[in-house]
Amino acid sequence: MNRSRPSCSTLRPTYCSGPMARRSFMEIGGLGILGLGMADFLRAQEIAKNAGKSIRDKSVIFIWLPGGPPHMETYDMKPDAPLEYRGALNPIKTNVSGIDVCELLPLHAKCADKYTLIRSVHHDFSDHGGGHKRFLTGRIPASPVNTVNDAPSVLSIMHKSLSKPDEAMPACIAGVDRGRHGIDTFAFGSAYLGPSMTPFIVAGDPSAKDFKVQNIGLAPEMENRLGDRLKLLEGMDRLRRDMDQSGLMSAMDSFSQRAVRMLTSPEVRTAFDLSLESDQVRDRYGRHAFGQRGLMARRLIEAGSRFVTMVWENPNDPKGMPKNCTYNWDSHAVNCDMYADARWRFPYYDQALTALVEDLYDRGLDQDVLLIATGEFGRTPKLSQTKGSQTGAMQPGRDHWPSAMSMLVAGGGMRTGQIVGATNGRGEYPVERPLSPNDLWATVYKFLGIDYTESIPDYQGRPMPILPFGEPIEEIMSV
Amino acid sequence: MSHLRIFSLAIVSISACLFPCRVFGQGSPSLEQPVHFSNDVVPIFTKYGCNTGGCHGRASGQNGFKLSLFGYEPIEDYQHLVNETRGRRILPNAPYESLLLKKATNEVPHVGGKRIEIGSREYETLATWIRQGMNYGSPEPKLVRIEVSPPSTILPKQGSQQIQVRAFYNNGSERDVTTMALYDPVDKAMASINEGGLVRVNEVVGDAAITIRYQGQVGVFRARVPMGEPLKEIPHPNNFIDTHIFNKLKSLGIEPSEPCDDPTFLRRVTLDITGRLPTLHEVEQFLSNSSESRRQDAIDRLLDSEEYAEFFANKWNGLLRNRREDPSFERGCVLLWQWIRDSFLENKSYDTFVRELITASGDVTHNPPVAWYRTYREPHLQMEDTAQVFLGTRLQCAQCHHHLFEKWSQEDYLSMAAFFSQVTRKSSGTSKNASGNNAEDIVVHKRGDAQMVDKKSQQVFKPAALGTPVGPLTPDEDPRRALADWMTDVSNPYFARAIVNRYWKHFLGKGLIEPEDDLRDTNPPTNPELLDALASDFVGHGYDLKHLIRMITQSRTYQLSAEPNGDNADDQQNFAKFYPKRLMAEVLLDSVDLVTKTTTSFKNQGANTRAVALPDNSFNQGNQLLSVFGRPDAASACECERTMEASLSQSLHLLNADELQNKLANENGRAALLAKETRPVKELIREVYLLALAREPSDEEILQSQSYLDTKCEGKEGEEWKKAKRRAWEDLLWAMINSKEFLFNH
Repeated sequence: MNRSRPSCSTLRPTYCSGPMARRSFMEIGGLGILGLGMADFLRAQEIAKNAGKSIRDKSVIFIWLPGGPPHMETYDMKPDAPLEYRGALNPIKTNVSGIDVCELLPLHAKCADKYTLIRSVHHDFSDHGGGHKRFLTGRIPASPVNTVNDAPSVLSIMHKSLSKPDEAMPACIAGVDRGRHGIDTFAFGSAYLGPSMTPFIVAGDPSAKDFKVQNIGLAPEMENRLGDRLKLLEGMDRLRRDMDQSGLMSAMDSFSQRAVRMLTSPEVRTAFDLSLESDQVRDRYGRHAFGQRGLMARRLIEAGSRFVTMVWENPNDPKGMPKNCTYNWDSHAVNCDMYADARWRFPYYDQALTALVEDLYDRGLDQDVLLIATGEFGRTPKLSQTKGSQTGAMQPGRDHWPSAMSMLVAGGGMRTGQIVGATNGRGEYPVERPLSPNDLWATVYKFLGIDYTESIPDYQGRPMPILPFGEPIEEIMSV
Repeated sequence: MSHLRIFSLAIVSISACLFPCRVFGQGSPSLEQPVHFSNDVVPIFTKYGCNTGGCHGRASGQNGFKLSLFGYEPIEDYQHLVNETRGRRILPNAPYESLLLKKATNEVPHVGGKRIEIGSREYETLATWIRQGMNYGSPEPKLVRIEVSPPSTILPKQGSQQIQVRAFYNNGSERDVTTMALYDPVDKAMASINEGGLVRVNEVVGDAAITIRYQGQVGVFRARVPMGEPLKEIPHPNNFIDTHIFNKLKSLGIEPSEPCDDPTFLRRVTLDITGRLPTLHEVEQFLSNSSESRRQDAIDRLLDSEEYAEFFANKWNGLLRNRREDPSFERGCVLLWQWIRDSFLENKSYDTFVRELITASGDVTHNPPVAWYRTYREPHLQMEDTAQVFLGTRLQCAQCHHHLFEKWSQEDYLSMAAFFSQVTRKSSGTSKNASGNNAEDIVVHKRGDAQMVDKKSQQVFKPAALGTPVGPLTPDEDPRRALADWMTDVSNPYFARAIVNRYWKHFLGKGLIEPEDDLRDTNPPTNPELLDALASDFVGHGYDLKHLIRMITQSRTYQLSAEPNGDNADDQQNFAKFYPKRLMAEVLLDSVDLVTKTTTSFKNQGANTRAVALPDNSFNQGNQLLSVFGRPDAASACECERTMEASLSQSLHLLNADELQNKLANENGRAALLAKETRPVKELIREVYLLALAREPSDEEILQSQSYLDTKCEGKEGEEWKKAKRRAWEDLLWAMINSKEFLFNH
């Protein structure tokens, strides 16, 4: 893929590596390594010590459910639909009259007053790749398949909009399974925003015994040594930066500056350390990938991150995954018996998500932290029966369905205990308040105080609005 | 000549009026030209994006209205527009009230927003077509080609040029379609173009190209942006490569950088040919060698090494998707990798190498290239890889619709896939993997007529190689042999160009065509003469890959310094200086191992296995450095899978990862050994510089390192002192590894 960049764009100073006179180059060389002098280094340390004490900023926890959760088995049950549509599960009442959820989500039923269910978001991209790109970029992707973005993901835009130069915590963090940490696995890529705008990826399962966030915090004996080393490097690193016009060297320098800030901040280290939580809290979230990632999201937000994405694919319970279940939410009959999968998967989801909802309220974060849980699309309203590739047996499943999907929104000082929109009797398409993923993002941008009509220059320097269309969902905006 | 120009201008002015417009349309029906559906109406849908995959061009249409993707099926479009939904999209009695116009102008709310302006020429064309009774028109005239004028020009920085696009039809007519054509700059950093065909170039010096599309026809416009006056003199060329590169630099007025010095050359060429740093011994030998031929000798020595074969096997492993998708693939992966490595070791000619892959039959043990047929079981997927890897042609688009930027049609796609239609597999009796297939298949040719059937039209397609028929094949003939014959024919326009461009990029950091596997008329090379010359030299030398590498690395162009000379700092396209490349993941890991004198262990691999010599992708997950620095997983046949982008994780890794700390602090590692050394410190520092950077340290650099060691090891000799000394050496090695001079091949 050709990822050529403009040689010099005044709009994007990090990439501006245009012609540089020998003299100005020498000045930069004199200032120090990686473009970061010792004074900056010490200042970064100082700022890091005082971090986390400022006024709370608004922030977002985004739970991403790749594969596409079945809307008709979760938040948009259709008990009266024909059997081949309604499926095998029944709805249960919640503590808010009129809101029903799936019987496999009993904990959801206890706290419906604290969230809103949106049942009418829809779009047109029925491939995982297209669905991911459509949902996560707020744009119509150039290609309906594959996950390499041609426009920046919302995560990258958030990273750019919310990052503060002196903040040690990355503004935008994403937790994913090991082996799924490529930026393009879920269309998290930054496209024309450039590689430095991708979220910081935490790979691995935080509920696993050997889990460790790579490269966070310094070992005690390294604390003074890093300063020495950087000073040494400052003297040794003499390669002329104007050799490289591709932007790579300057990007590496700017990442190194950020890395130093992250390494030297004790807040960063403790933010990721789940052992500082009580057993009671950890158990409430659940000792599995969903639960501990949810808990980590809350800790990261409290430490100053602004947009934390947690990908919930395989709950990764030590007990293992039954053979008739599947890795993520992609419950085609060929992948799994979707009801077996639901009975196995939903309890983890129910536990972790409601723990997060309640925790946000318990800790008084419900006004400042917005929680969203969604996948890239819903699933076909009509059930299918196919031979499973793992089981060899005929089993039920549902395929991809972008024409209707459901999602949960909580906290953020939003109006909760309600349902927005409705689909028809068979869950096929919205009949009330049709919404697009962009309407959700418009809501989120407004909540965060980001003007989504502002533009970001693309490769050509052409102004591309953050969101080309979409309006905040008034029903849920602050009461 | 001059009367010809006048003649063509006259045609342009007449043809401009062929386009139905307001002037002729209103009030004078006798003069009004009939609007032709496929020649006049469909181009409007294409220009305004109505028939793209994101809108009505989707397979399922958009909100009930479907158009064929990019207008390649005008008859279908006509049906949808005129006959569907009881014709409510069109109102012949009140053309301007037609839903078609109301939606397109957003008078009736349109999800796609306003596409055309009320009163615009396109608006009136659609209205006229409706008023005239929505004629489809005869199949004639058919568009046969488009022409761009001027086809190329020279522009100053930030200059602009209006281009004109003319369409020619089979009845001899032509018209100006400048405002209806679609434009895409090949390199957006170099030039932009507006909807009306006004090209603007930026500050970047070199050749900018614009791709032009109109109703399935493609063209290209090129603008050369020189630096200034042409050069008076150019350096003496080492070989034909330099002649072409320097000729272009001369015309652009860009002064090439000076040749790089010997240490830089040795490090550069060793990394590029063998994927490792030169050893201490090699550096010392080379730097003390004053013979005229020392650089050539070094190239020959490196090409003769086993490490060359391993390093290029690593490259080809990715391209041939030698991927351990399932544990049962292990043996096949290792055998294929060994076969690739051995092919390079014996310098098998490239045409033979490819022929053996394409025509592979039998079982993996006796014929390892059959493993290439393991993952993709459909003929079209194997064909797509073949076209992309060996012919530099991306046919994927043509599976569903005519290629947007190329002449390739679905017919070409299916005819090409037909070569693989008789590939079949027999059970080898090995265990089944997760997909229910044997881990190792026996690949055989199934007797019968090779063909592919178009699912939609049921039309049958016989094998044809990118549009070239290969003659009749008997049912017993394996069609893949005919394909291999065509590919490796000396006159094949794709085969040699694709590989020389790929190798050029490997060494020079940027292809003559980018991306390196996307050769097409609308993506012209930055130096066409050089690409042709490289290809014909390669073919003329019997497809000898080592010869190709020798030519490239012996050229003065390859041996230019990466340091800009002030003038050429901005050059990103013309090879006026060497473009630095970050060490790729595997090479970086091996280099870190060398500097720290440690090894990395890989599952089931020998203790001293280099990362570049790993047989497949399965080792990536287990090694943090390999994954954060982007060793590819061989999931696609595209070299772009190897990401060379920077990331925060990479920086964190280099600054502080346990993996790196442990290597630095290893009991038997370099820092520990250096701390125990009794030789003079100056000598030790020199050794570290030679190892990591392949050059002598300056006096200042020696002094700096020495003083660091001194400050850290003050006080009395003893256990603490020893520890401090070792730590100081660790710090020095750390700084070395983190320096850009180490991290880049420059």
